[in-house]
Amino acid sequence: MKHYHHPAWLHALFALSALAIVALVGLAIADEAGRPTKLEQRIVPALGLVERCEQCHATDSHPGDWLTHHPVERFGCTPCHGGQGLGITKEEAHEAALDWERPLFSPLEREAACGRCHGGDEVPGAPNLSRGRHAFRERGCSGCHEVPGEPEPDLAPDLDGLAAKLDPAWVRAWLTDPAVLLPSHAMPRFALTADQIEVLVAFLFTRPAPSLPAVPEDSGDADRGKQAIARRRCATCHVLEGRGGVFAPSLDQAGVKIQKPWFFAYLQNVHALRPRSRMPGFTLPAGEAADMVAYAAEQLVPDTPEMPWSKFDTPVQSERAPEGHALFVKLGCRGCHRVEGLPPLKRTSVPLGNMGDKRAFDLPHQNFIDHVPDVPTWIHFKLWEPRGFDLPEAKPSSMPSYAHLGPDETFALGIAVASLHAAPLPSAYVRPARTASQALPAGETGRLVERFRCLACHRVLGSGGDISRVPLDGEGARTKPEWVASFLKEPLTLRMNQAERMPVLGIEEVDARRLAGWIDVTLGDDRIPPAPPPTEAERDAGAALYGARGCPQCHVVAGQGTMMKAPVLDGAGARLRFDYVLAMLRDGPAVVPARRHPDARLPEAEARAISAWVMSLPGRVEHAPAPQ
Amino acid sequence: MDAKPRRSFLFAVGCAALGLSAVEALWSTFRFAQARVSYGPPLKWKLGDPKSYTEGVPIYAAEPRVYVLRNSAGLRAMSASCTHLGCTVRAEGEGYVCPCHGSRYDEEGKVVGGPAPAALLFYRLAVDGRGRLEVDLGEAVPPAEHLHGA
Amino acid sequence: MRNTLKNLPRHIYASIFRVGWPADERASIKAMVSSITLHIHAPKIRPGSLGFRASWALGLLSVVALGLLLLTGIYLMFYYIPHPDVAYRTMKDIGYVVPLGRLTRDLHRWAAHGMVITVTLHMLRVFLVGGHKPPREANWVVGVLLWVMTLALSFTGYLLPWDQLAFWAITVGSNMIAAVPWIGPGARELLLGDRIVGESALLRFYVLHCVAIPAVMFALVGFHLFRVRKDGGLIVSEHELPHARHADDGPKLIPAWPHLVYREVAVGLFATALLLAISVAAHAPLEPEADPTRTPNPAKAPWYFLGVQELAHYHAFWGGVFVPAAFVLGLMALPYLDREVRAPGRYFPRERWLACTLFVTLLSFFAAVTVVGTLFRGPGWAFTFWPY
Repeated sequence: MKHYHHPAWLHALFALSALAIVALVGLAIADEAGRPTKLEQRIVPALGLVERCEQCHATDSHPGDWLTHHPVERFGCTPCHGGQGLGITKEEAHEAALDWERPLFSPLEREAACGRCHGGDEVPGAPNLSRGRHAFRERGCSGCHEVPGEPEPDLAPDLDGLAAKLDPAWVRAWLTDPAVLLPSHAMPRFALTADQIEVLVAFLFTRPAPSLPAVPEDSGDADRGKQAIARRRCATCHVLEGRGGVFAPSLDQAGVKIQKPWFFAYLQNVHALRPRSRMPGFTLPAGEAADMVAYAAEQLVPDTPEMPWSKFDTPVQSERAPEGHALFVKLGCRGCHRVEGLPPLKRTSVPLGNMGDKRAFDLPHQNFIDHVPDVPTWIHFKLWEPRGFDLPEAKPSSMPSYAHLGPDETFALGIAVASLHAAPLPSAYVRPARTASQALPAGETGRLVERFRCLACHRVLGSGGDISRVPLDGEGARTKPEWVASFLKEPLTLRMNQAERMPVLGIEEVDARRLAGWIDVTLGDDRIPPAPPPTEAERDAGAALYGARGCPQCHVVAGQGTMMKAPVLDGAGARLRFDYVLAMLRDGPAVVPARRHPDARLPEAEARAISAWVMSLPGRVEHAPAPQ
Repeated sequence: MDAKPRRSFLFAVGCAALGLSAVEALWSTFRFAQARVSYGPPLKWKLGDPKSYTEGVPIYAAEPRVYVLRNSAGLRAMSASCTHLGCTVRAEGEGYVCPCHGSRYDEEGKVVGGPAPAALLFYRLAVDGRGRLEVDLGEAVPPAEHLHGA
Repeated sequence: MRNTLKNLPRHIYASIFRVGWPADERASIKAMVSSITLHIHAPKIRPGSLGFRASWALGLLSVVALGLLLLTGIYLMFYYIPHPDVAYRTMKDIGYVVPLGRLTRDLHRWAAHGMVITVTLHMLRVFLVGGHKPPREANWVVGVLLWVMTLALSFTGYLLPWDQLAFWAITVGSNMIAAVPWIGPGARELLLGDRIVGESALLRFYVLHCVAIPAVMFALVGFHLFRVRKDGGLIVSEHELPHARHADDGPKLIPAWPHLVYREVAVGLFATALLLAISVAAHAPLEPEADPTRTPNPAKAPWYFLGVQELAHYHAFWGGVFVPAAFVLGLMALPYLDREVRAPGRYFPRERWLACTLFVTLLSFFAAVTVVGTLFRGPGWAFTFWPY
């Protein structure tokens, strides 16, 4: 080198480049020195998870007992919490980035994640998810939106024979806005145009309708009708004069809404006109039916002199029925309402089976300034304003608004829908919904259960409805069949401060005995062991103990009791079984159900004594229903 | 300073930097080869309720391949991997025997016969926040160390 | 015995380097000729070759880039697994849990982009000075092949991260291949090993990217450099370009060692430092994991193919197949169609103004079309202004 002359810039280039390399690589090495050399990593091969959460988070301090049922070794962290398991800094793990679009789950998404594995609408620890799934079924969402495993909803009335039942004007008013006519209803407002309503009415009112005999003139008495309605307890399910249950359509305008011949025929044989209705198969005598019809004509009418729908009173344009038929199918009315002879349901709305796999920003957002944070919130907004996400020039959606459900329910629905995933799960992780037991009655008993729609209100052996909260499982071990039969014929309340709700279905003696027998044999309870029958000595001892243990605080015997909240115990021996009373007092209601009984847990001797005394009480169980 | 020494200085600086960067490259390669995570089987294993391990009976835990021993002093976890060539030793009589080449160990894991070169290892035991026993195969401990109070 | 030990270092050194560190010109020539690496250079070169403006160091930069790619590529191979189930995870691991992994990957990616640019500019430079004329025709053709290989390396490597960008870029790219008449669909299926981009394609691209194409590339690069020397070195027009300045008016040819070698080392270090700086400042992108069910809108080919994709948008065959194929084939045929055999060695000499203008225009056209495809095409391939 000594003999050669190199320009200065060359030396500078060489030296500076080399220095730059040293500096830059040194920078990277220095950065590396600040990082831990070994990271905590958890691999869950069954789910394909690789997670480094435990580098920063100690699982031992996880709140609640979630990890008892979901050990980290089996579930990892990200299935419930989201985020990027591979990340090693807080930003990488928690935030959304260009290469990781699912940041840490919001609380809503976390609850929706429970539904990834847990099926059914009773998921422990996930109340909103359960509520949302229940609402999904109750609101008939699967009538328009396909969800694998969800059957077609069966909530809305059949629309056959409308020409005999309803007034076209009323139907027009109803289709324009159901809320104007009846505040409590399940049908949402579909924002139909007048022309669409016209063709639908044309279609529905040109369907074949039965010809029904007219109600005999002056055959019904309104006052008698009112008593009959009170006695039958129609208000348990129907709203009448502003009060009642919301499980069935409101009857507030039944007098003008429903044509009399139809009403008359319906009450005499419900299932003849509406074989699939949830309403029990009442077969009222003609006189009673006529009374009720008279009462309805007089009292169940709107307050205004003129009908709110009189402006819709125009003739039906029957020539447009085919248009109405097409529209009926196109709009998806078929999803909730059955009409004879229509093709099988073909849902045209967005299938929801993979909503949980979508990210919030995959969903339409055009009208929003900020992005909706997660899928449940997006669904909540969509339910409130279905057109809110559409561009002005977009095709108008036929989805109605569900704002009337309230935010709690719409968020719950959002969580429920966001829990639907299409991606398969390893079978070891799937927790299907509890399937209904197969032990429900068949044969004649089964026909009775069908006819009286017991399962519309009661839940038995895992299937049924929740209108009645009385648990019937194990009823056979608690009560005696004679009493059950008499109850079925004439349901009477046992508590002085409560009114009986079960409708008087008109069950014949022999049918009531059959049903009671089935309950006695089938609905046993493993928690109630057989016990030796009571002795006289025990009965005598029980008399004093009854008072000493504070039972009269709540219970009523021969009209005596302090707060009178608990069932009357007169005639308990004819109603209850000794084994049950003993087990309840001895083992406590946590073991043996008596829903509101305090946890007495008496010693065996005392429990036997009090039970013996209670079983010996004379008298019949008889109480008139308390006034409304 | 006249021209020539300045340029040689730059050249020398450059050469030194180049040498330093070669060292950095070697060091980087060495570090690059050691990832911060392992995809092999885990080192920590849960062994269930400590109370379920009774005194005097060595209980074998298959996945971490250890025997859990309880005596009056407490609990220990002894490796079941023979120090000869790694076969799993069997508890036999008072001690342990390796089925592969006949190495024999006493109840403390010390070699009493056969080709094994060293005593069986003991690993650290601990009780985690949920009361479960946990063995850490990355932490070898002396045979005298027991887990007390579990 | 003591003598043997004392002489040991010198003995080892002398057995490896048969010629000692060159102290004068004769020694330097001897060193150049005897060394396996150095004899790629002619022992003596024309001073004009040293000028930066002779070549803009583009060929050297391409080779340096290739060397960096080889080095970083081998490092990455220690962690990358070419299977769709784990490829993305290994990319993430390289970024997160491998010490200096992110730097390695960034360096690899920026060097790759850089190489595509330097090779293209190198081709432009060679044409402008007439370096395709006899006796350099074969070397020009090899050069065009090397350019195609560079793009192929970049294309095969593009798929390996298995993210949305990779998956859909290669889907679009392979669909463009399928647009070739008759052989297109067959070629596409051969390339992908299946009808869709999947496990087969990933493994094939991995083998092509790491073994097959580099092997061919290195053979061709060797031939290319060999021919450079055999064909008489760089084209330099002596009276245009400045001589290497030195105090005493030296001989007409100067020794390659140390002048050329020193410059090459310095420029190589500079290129490495520049790429390192870019890697530290800007990180190679990684998008979400490849999802065959979610097509990004628009789905774009790798940037160097976006010009072709833009042309294909106008007409799938004429734009997407004919024009690019004609361009490549035309390039290769160029030296055999050129009537003028003298290489003036200057850029844009008057006698070649038409050819040079045409070539520059053609390249500019492709560059423009690539820019349009990159920056001005949005969802549905609709024209849109930035920001997109």
